[in-house]
Amino acid sequence: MNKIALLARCVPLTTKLGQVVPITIQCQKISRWVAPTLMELKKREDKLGGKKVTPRNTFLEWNLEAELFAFGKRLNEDFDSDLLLEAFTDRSYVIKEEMKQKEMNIDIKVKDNRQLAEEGEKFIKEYIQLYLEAVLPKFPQEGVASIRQHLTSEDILANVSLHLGTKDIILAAEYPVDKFILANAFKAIVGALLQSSGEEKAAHFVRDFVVTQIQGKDVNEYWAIEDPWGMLTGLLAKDNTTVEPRLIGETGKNTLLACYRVGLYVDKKMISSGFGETVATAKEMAAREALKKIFGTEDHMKPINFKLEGIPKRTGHTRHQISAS
Amino acid sequence: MSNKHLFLNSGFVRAPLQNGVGRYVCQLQRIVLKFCKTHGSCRGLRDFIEQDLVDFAKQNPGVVVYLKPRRHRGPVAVAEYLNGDRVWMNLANKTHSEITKWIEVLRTQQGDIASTRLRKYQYTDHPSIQGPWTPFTFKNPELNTAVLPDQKFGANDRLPMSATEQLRLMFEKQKLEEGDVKTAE
Amino acid sequence: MSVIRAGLQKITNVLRNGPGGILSRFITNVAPVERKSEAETTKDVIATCNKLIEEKPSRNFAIVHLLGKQWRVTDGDLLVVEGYWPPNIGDEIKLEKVLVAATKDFSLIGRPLVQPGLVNVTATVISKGLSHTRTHFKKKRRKQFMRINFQRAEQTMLRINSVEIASKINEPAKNVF
Repeated sequence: MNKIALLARCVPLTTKLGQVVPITIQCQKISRWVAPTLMELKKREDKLGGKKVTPRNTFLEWNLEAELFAFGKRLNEDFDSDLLLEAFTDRSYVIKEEMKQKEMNIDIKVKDNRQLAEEGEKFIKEYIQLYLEAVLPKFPQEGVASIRQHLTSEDILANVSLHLGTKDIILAAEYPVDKFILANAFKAIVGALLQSSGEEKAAHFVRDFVVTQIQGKDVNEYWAIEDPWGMLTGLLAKDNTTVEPRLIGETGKNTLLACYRVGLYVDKKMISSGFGETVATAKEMAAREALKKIFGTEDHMKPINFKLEGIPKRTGHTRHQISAS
Repeated sequence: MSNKHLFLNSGFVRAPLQNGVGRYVCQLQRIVLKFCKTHGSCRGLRDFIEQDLVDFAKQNPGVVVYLKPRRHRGPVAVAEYLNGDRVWMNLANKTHSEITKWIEVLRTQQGDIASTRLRKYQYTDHPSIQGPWTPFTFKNPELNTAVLPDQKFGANDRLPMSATEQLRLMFEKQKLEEGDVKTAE
Repeated sequence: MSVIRAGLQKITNVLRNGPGGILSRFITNVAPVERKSEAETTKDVIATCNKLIEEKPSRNFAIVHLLGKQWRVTDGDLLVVEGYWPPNIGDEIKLEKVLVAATKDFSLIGRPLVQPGLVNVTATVISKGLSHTRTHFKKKRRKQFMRINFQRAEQTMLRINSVEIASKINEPAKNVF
């Protein structure tokens, strides 16, 4: 009631003020027709199939030769220019060119990057495997394989390729190019480098651009251990020792925010501890911690060395196989 | 209410492709200089092109430089970066030395960094190396087996010292000192 | 000279020699407290720290002083420093003002700096550019006073390449200028 009365009293006041002082609104002057026009334009554009991206290589300011030269120089590598062009030629482009040539009755052979990509992929896989084995000496074979799989996945290679500036240079039928073509081009570039400057240069190239992608990542995350407790006991059984889990801390019992801490003991010495909302998860986490210690991949592990020179030698025999246990 | 966020995005420190961990790669991939051959506002850019551009291209072989002369239009530099950013810069009425400096800025930055406001000036993947603190850190292990409530752990040891206690301490200290004097003799 | 702080518990060497199977990987450096004279303890702690420095078992971090600010850095960190600073992109530099250097198990605390040459902090300059435009707007009510200034600061981004403890504690450092 009071409010209404107050409002009613204010009404004549505000109307009076309005008469005396003209209301000014401070804002940018955008005419009233701008928004409807833009909306209409957008509607028409969408009707025609969305916004069209013009390929960078159809611009007036484009010189493929200069781009290829700069590509090598930027990465500090000496590419053979023919091989590099071949590495950037995708299969889809070749097919398109052949169709065009058929229409015009000419026949110029264009080589695509399939062979180079194959060579490059093989080299990348082999080298990354050797490198990871060298820098993670205690990590089991399965873990190394899964990190390698992650590093050589299409997503990672496509991302590397994109950030090396291949997106605009790739000769493909479509634009923007998809991930598969980007990753393929990267593999082909490694293949081209392998042929033009030799293994060591190619190895350093892969090290600097692909292997460094695990910098700052937790290497344990790439390898999903199904049953950490079983694995730990299996490993320790080989040494004729048994591990004993003990509950060493609990808070908030019987609440939603319960927290348990379980420590694992071998010979009355604590080897690791883990937290969890139930005792079972805490035990599992403790087992995971213990496994990390065995594999030398704790959170505070020594940073992975990204400066190893040359191609590391295979050391194989000391590495234990988890699958056997 | 502010709508600052409508114009200026905020972000965190990031570097493209772990740059600097392996080898360093200059992030500018190409630069297009657009200018008019007669327009007065292009004078500085024309001077730059005549005097410094060849040296610039020689010193930076990894950057593709394009020149785009066009009639009766203002001078513009467009820089394209490896992460896909494109920076458009108007160079109208800028002098030769100013343009040299702006081109240097375009060359050395890693993308369109001016378009984001940095919220933090540091980035780390390892916030703790000696281990984060938890409520269990430095906790007395005796608590694990204790049955609570317990006289030992339940005692209130946060009360200020009482006057009687203080007097008793003073007395004992005095007694010790007296004892010291005696032994010194 | 740096003071060694070995935490609450004294670190003693309980590492077994030679490859001892999987169990050897659980052995920690932390052993229960023993009663020993102070001089002996100091000697012991320094010896253990030196052993750890030699083995390099863990990640290190350091607190460095850079352009008036202190930064906690470890391998792979990114820093952005503001203001005029001569190093250019691609330069690899060494950060020499190290206030604290530490590993997982011990910390070296400088007074105020740890001895030169003891800790190696190397970094690469990744990017140099200008920040976003900051607006400085001042207004005083009823005083006919209004100023608006625009300002952009130079920003240099650094990648920390390595934080290493190069030489042993209490030993003359190598290659110090």
